[in-house]
Order: sequence, then C-alpha cells, then structure tokens
Amino acid sequence: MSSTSDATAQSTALGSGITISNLSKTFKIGKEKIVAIDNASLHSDKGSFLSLLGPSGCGKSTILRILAGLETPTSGFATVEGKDPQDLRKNHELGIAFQDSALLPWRSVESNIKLPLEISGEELDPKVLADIIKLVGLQGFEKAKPAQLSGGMRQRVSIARALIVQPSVLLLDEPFGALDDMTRQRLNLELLRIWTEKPATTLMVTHGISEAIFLSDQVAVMSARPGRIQEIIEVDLPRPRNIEMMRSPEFHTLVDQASELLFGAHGEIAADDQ
Amino acid sequence: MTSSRPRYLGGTIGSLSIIAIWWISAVTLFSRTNSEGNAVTGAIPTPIEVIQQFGVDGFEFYFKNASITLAEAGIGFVLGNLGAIALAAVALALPKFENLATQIAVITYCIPIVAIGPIIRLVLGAPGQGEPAGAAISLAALSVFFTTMIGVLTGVKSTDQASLDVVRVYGGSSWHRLIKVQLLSALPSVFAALKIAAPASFLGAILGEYVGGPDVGFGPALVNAQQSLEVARVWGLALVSGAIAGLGYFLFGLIARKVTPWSTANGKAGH
Repeated sequence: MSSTSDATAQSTALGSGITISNLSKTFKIGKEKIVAIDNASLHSDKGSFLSLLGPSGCGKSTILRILAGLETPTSGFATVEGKDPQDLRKNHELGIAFQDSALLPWRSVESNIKLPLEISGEELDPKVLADIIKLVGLQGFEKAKPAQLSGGMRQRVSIARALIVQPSVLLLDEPFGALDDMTRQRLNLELLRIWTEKPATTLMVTHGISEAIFLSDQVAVMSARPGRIQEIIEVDLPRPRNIEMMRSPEFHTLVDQASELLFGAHGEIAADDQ
Repeated sequence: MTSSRPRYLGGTIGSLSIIAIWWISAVTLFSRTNSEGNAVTGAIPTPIEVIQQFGVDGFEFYFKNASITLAEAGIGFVLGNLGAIALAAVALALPKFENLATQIAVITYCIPIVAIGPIIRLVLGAPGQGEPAGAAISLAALSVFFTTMIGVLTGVKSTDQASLDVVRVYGGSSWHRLIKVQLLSALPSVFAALKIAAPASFLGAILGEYVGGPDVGFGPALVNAQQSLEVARVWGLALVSGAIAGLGYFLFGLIARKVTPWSTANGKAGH
C-alpha cells in the first residue's frame, strides 16, 4: 500500500508522468538560509493524480512552482514526460490553478478562459470553449465579470482556463483552499467529475487529508522544516470514485494512515502549524 | 438607489449650509456701515450680489476668459501627462533609472510654482494679445506631472502577482505580461491620478497667468477685478474657476467609471 520515496525514485522512468528527482530548494532571506525542500524524489504515471499533502511551510507549493517554471531548484530536477518546466512553458503544455483564482477582472468569464490561447497564438475552436464552459458548469455566465461571481465560480473559471490548453500536466495549488467547507466539498466532487472526463497528469497541493485521498492515485505526505517527503501513500480505491467511497472502511484506513504520518509520530508539526 | 439617496441629500444639505454661513457672515461679521450709517457689505458680498454681478458681466465675459485659461490648462494637461507617462515608462523599462525618475518628479512637486513662474516668463517671453501664455501652460504641465507619474508607477507595480504568474506559466513573455495584464491593471490608478490632475492643471494655469502676462484669462480678470475693488466680480470669478476645476475632476471620474468598470464594481452573485 505504501512505499518509501527512495523506492519510487528507483522506479523513475523519464518520459512518463511527473518526475521529481533529488529536488532541493534553499531560499535566502537576509543572511539566513531556509531549506524549503530537502532532497525530494517522486514519480507519478502519465494520466495519474498525485497530491502533495502537508502542513504549511513544508515546501509543497514550492515543488509545484518549480514544476510550473516559476522557481528554479537549487539542486535536482523536475520534469513532466521528460521535458523540463521551461520547455513545458514554451510549448504551452502547462495548466495551472492557484488558491487565488487570479482572473483578470476586466475580462469576462469566456475571455479569461481564452487567455492562454491568446498567449500561445492557437486558434480557438468555439465548440471546445463551449464544452469546457459546460464541463465546469458555467453555462449562462459566459459574459459575466469575475466580480459578479462567487468564490467557487471563480475557481471553476480558473480550472476551465487551465483545461483549455489541453495541458500535459495540470497543476493545482490548493485550488479550493480559500473557500468555505461546503463549497469546497462540492467542488472536490466537481473536480473529480471533470478530471474523469478530461484526464490529465495532475499534481495537486493541499492540506486537506480527505480530499487528497479522495481525489488521488498517490499522496505524498510531507513534513516541514526542512520540507521532506515522508512517505508516499498509494491510494488503491477503484475508479470511477463516488461520494459513497468516503464512507468506506478502506477510505478511512488511508485517511488514518495519512493523519498518523502528519500528526502521530511528529506531533510537533501540528503544534507548529498553529 | 437606496444608497445614492443619502449621499445626494448630504451633498445638498452641505452646499445649502455653506451658502447659509456665507450669507450670514456677509451681512453680519463682515458688514460695515457707511458714512450715512447704512449697513453695506464689505469684504464678502452676499450670494445675491454675486449673482447680480454675473448678470452685469454677462456670459461673454466668462466665456472669453475661460476659453484662454482652459486652452492653457488643456495644453499643459496633455504635455504634462505625456511627459509623466514617458518618464514612468523609462523608470519601468530601466529599473536603474527609477530613483532618478522619481526624484525628478518629486522636484517638480516641491518647487514653489510661484517662484518658477517668473523664470519661465523670462525664458518664454510675454504672449501676444489674446493668446495663451507659455508660463501658464508650463505651470499647468508642472502641476500634473508628479501625480500622474506616481499614478502610473504605482498602478503598474500594484499588479496582482498571481495574474502575472498565470501569464508566465501559460508561456507568456514580458511583453504579454505588459499588454495583457500590467497596463490594464494600472488604469484605475492612472485615472485616479488624472482625476486630480484635471483640476490641478486648471489652477496651475491661473497661477501661471498671474505671472505670465496674458491680457485675457481668469488670472488677469481676477487681478483686474481685485485692483478695481470689484469684490462681487472677484467672488464670481473664484466660484466659476472652482466650478470648472470641479467639473474636470467629475469628468475624469465619469470616464474612469466607463473605462475601468471593474475597479468600482462590487456586485456579487450567489453560487
């Protein structure tokens, strides 16, 4: 059910899915050096859903930002299907959604979703746009401005924008982290549905234990200071998944396992996070 | 509707009370008695007297003077803002020069405008009859320079970092970031600056006319009225120039609301 990060690194095969190899990142703040990520290795298969789960400050967002090409690693490397982040960016192969929807307030829903295609200069098929809008449940809001939408709807737009480029990898940085619990639950179900219809190699960063287990094929549990990958939990719940599975004993065993890793042996992390 | 009513009411009550205070102090505090013992108004004319003076002076008087001052303010406004935007662009394109550029803007703000007026007058010479004064144009331009430059700089810099990250991740160059995100997100701040610049350029032009030596305009009209002790006319001119300046502010507020509706929109729908 679980394996160590070393074992996973061994099985790394360039050319499929996400590969993170001996990745380290050190930030300098004044004279102080802060180790954000310490020698992290990970591998996920093409088309699979991988989550990074951990307390704040464990470097999970930094790993995502390195894959997005927004940060450069101090050592080690991260690739998707053998391509490094700079190439992925140049080829317009990345899709990303942040906790803050980061929509342009002067653009309508439709126009925000089209933004990545304007940048890449690709032709937009109106049918594809309509399909994506339908997929994320925003029909009737095509012309609305972000300010007229709720937080949950804005995140839907942000996910639609990530999907319009048909990315080789979908990066989700706590996409529903700023939403209330009920909206968050509902959008997780929506995300599962969307992902089932448009499967893409996905990396999600989260601090929600049950949403990580519910959505993912693999959950990399991380610890903070320095940011390390503690263990990788293989989630063997069958797909397609549904909400009933959240009540199954298998699901709870996995959640307990992750909780134990996060709080059990290292209780200080939980205290630290307050 | 419900939220605009109290604001409208408040404005009306405010204006009415100012007029009331003006009127009362004109006939009490600032009144004098003449040699025959009758009360006459002195330094402050009553609103009635000012309105009567409007009638005496006529529309033509105000139109003639306003058109010159507005021409000076308009040219100054355009030149000053273009200069400010150009300097801000240099500061943004070449971060090395940002400090220098900001210092230049601060200097334009700190120099007493009254002190620099005569210098400009000497450099540019006196204007021809009925022509706009170069000094007035220059002071109008100087009056808008600082606010616009700072408005552009803060506008471009206050761009939401996550939006820039998004453009970057989707393969956008710095050019994409500029035209798709930064320029547009700077607009509300630029308009806020222009809103202040519009009345500032008009007042700068009047100041410039004091020293610039045109024969027509609000500046010379004010000086003439003051020297010939036409108190009601001085007040009339002051009120009209205040109204024109306010109108400039209002006009740019209106344009801003049309061009950048997102910066004022706050309506939200449900889920």
